[in-house]
Amino acid sequence: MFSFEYPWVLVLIFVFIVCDKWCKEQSEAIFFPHVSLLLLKGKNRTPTLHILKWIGISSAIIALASPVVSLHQYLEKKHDIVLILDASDSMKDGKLDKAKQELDAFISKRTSNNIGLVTFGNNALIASPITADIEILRTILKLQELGIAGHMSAINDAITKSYGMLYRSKAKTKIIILLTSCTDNKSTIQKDDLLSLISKFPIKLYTIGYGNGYDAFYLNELAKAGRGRAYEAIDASELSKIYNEIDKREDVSSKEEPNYIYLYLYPLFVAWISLLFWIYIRNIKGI
Amino acid sequence: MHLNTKTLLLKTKKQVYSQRLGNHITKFYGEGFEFGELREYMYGDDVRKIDWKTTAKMGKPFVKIYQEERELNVAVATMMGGSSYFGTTKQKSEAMREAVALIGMSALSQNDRFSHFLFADKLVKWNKPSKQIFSLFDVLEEMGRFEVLSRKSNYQKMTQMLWTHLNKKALLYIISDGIGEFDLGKLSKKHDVVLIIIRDKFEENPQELGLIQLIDTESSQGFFGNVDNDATSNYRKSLAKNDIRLADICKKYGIRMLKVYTHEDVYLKLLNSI
Repeated sequence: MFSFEYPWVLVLIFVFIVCDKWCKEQSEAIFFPHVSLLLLKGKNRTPTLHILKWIGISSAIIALASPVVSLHQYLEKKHDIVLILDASDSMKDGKLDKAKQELDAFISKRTSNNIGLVTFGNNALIASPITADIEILRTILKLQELGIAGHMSAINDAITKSYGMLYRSKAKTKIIILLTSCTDNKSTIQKDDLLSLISKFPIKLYTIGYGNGYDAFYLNELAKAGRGRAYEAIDASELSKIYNEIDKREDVSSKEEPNYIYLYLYPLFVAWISLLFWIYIRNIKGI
Repeated sequence: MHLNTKTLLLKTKKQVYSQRLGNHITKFYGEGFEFGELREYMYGDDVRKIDWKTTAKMGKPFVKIYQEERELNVAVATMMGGSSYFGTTKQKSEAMREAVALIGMSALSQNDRFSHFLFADKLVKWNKPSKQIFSLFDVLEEMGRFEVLSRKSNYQKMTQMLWTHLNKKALLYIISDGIGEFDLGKLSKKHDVVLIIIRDKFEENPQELGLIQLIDTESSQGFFGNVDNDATSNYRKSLAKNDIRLADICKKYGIRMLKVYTHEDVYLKLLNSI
């Protein structure tokens, strides 16, 4: 989307308009009789110069206001988060819906992050790649249903996939938040391989055990290897507390600069060229 | 200043004399030194005017009639608007002042009554008819002191004021730069008008100046423009148009016109032409 970084700078153009009218340049002038009557009668007062001058001024001001385009696609933000959602049978009895609600709230808060979503069942699916478009992500989250990827659960695969997603990301901080309510029973990746993978990459791993079917010891081990924390939640209210805590722990969103494509170079170029021509023409004509 | 030089002889063809006796021979008959004609004595004629020689020759009483000598009403109206603040060798206003001084001195030396109107955007000063040299000095001092810049020449006002203020017929010199619309028809019917146009040669024939800030001397407005060949030729054209119109007016109403440039000697120019 096109916008200005400092739109108030555009007000400066009024200063120039007012000055053009009221405080004219005090250059060397000669007195001449009947200038208006005879000399410059009906003569367009050098329109080329006038146009060039105003193009120069206005495009310089536009360049100063810094026009930017903010893009709704993957941008190199400082935080990349991958949320892993358990969609296996263990999430039945409305657990999944509650978890989705909490995730939705979490996603809505972190607008300045790139967030991806991985859902797992029999195998792990990338529901959404890492994106800055929060709205799309929320829509995708709503579409996640129980058993969408099978009834068993492949936690290790999901984590490996998430690492794969974050592997190429250039963000400063990379976070994975795993939400599960069962033990791994379908993964093709072994635990030792996973632990070595986790400890190898500078990616933080938070684990949340939800309900009562999970392996707390296992999750703790994973979180430790991933320099994160393991949480345990019995019901939805605790889940929301945990997400808030993670949100606070990783909260640097306010310090983050919005990700823009800067376009000031183009108006600056136009200003430069037109003012250059302005000086050139002025010098030619000034005998 | 040419106050020491020989004064000009102000001449007029029209009968613009005052009622007082003076140095100028009029076509009226009356008291004077200039012989007019001889005619037979009629009842009521002054017996002192009977010429005894002719009477003796003709056998009838004849009287010698002289042409009356009266003084001239000399009036000068100077339009010293903002446009007179210009000149390459000498300011136009300075040339105007010289012309006024010359005419005034001449009038006074011929024992004529001299009055002066100084105009710009309005009637600035009116010196009533006087034979005192002090009056002329006053006029010149006022003209020297007068700030002409940013005063718009108001010719309508000038002709109107001259019509109302100059009641007696006069030899009227109008000194201006002659750029503007003004109608001298009405004035020329009553007065003997002489138009003296003071111009600068650069003003008549400007060179290319390029991009330059010009300040109009009449309106004080700044103009930033490109004074190129186009502009100067347009300028010359419209000035020529103005001059042709002025010449037509002068021809139509029998007004004597004289153009004096600032680089010329005002005295010589006036001497040859007036």
